[in-house]
Amino acid sequence: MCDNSLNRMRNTSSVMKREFLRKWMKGLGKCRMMKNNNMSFLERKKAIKLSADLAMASTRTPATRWSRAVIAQAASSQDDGYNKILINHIVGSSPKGKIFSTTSPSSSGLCRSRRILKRRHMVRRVVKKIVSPMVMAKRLVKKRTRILKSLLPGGESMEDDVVLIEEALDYIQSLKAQVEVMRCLAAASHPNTNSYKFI
Amino acid sequence: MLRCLNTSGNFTGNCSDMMVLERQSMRMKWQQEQQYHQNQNFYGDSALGEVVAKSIKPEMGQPTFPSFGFGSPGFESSSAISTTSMAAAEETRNGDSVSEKEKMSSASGKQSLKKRKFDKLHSSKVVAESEKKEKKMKGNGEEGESKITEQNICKETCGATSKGNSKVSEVQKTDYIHVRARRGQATDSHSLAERVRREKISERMKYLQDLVPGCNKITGKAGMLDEIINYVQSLQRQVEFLSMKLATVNPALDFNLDDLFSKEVFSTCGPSFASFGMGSDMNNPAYLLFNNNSGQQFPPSIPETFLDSSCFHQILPSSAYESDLHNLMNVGFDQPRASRAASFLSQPLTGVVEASHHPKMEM
Repeated sequence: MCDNSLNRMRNTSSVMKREFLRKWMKGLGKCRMMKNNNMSFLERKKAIKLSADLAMASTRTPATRWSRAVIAQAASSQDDGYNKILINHIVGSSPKGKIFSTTSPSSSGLCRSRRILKRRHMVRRVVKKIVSPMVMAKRLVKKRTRILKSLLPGGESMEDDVVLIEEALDYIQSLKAQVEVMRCLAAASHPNTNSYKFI
Repeated sequence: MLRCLNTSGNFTGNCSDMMVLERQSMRMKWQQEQQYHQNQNFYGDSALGEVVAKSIKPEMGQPTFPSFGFGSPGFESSSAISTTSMAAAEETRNGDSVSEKEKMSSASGKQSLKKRKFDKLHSSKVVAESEKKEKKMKGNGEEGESKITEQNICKETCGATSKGNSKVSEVQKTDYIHVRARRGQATDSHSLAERVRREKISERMKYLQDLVPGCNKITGKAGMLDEIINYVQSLQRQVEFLSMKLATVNPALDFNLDDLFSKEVFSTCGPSFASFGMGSDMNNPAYLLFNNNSGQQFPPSIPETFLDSSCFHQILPSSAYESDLHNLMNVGFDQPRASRAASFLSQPLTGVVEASHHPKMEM
């Protein structure tokens, strides 16, 4: 855990963390104002997670696809009004129309249908013949790539492997930063657990 | 017929201008041709045909020449010339082979065979011309490239030599990959793009390997992807869990500025609160002693000491911050006061004794 490389990375991402924290706090403040402090536990959790995700995405917005996908997803979810207000508040200056337009339901539907088709095709092929190890390895990689695509926000639209891996790199880095910040905040506001850790 | 032979003679004359390697391959070709002719001339003679076939099978080079000459005892003139040609220099040998061919053609009276020979020579002339054209096109191109083209032509004209030449050309294929790609074949451009793409991917994968813990030992794309997937999933789950935790801790969602402050302190200091406390202890041994003394006396001093340690470390001593943190500590420590006190008492001691166990405790 205390590697030199990790330390270096921590230093380089400290600016990002600070930015993320600022935006997150802004978003949380907005949440509190809008909901008037009477939230259920699940609502609170949702609000915290959403605001954290949005804050992280907005710190990385112009550069990466996954962040844009996160914002677009939040914008197109069920309780639109609330989310949109939050997005406007956190993301702020970025052009709204552009971000919202990145979600094209028709294209996502097309992707899904293509995937289903492919799966059907694959099943048929597996039944048909015995495959060589080379083909098998390729299939394994393909399967994992598909899973990774499903994990990354907006990964369905990344056809190129190079782009996918770049996005995965960035996403992992920012997720790491997010987790560290959140953990610190949780620890700061909940020191009992730390005292237990010490024992 | 004679004119054709003359042109071929000119061709050999031109050959002398070429490089040594090219000359060699040319000679090889000539020999191949001769063997072919002999094979045709004495088609009826089965024994000789077998000998010739044998001489063709083990690569053409120079050893085939004498064996061929030896294998045709019935043909004195050609054999004599061939033996002399062995002793002669390369250019003269080429000339001899031409003359030998002339004699052979004169000896064999059958017109159909002549026709065949004519065709053969014509084809060789065409080959030579195409080679010259290629040379002109490339100007003074690389030797390897011209060699490759030559060998390709050899492959086309004489199928028997393809075995040895293919090996050589494969070796050169690995050496001159970019050269071959520059020649503008469609498949090559595709493969080039594919190679660049793969290099890019592997480079990114290396970065990912550095980023994802426990990914260093794994080789193979599938395993690495597995590891990456697991890591991303675990991070996403952690975010989920932490947001849940924060929701339970803060019913009012009031993370105010002091939290922010303390958080920044922690983020620069380390990933977790625990390591922060330990780190400060390790950094200030003198302070540790003080902590030991005061901590044993009464529990209420503990938040202060904690604060002090952070001040030591961070150089951000603001009164508002201190008071806020004080409040926070008091609020947080309401119920498990006794256990916390015990833990904080034990902490400096363990810090002194087990300073080397820091990473383990952090985990």
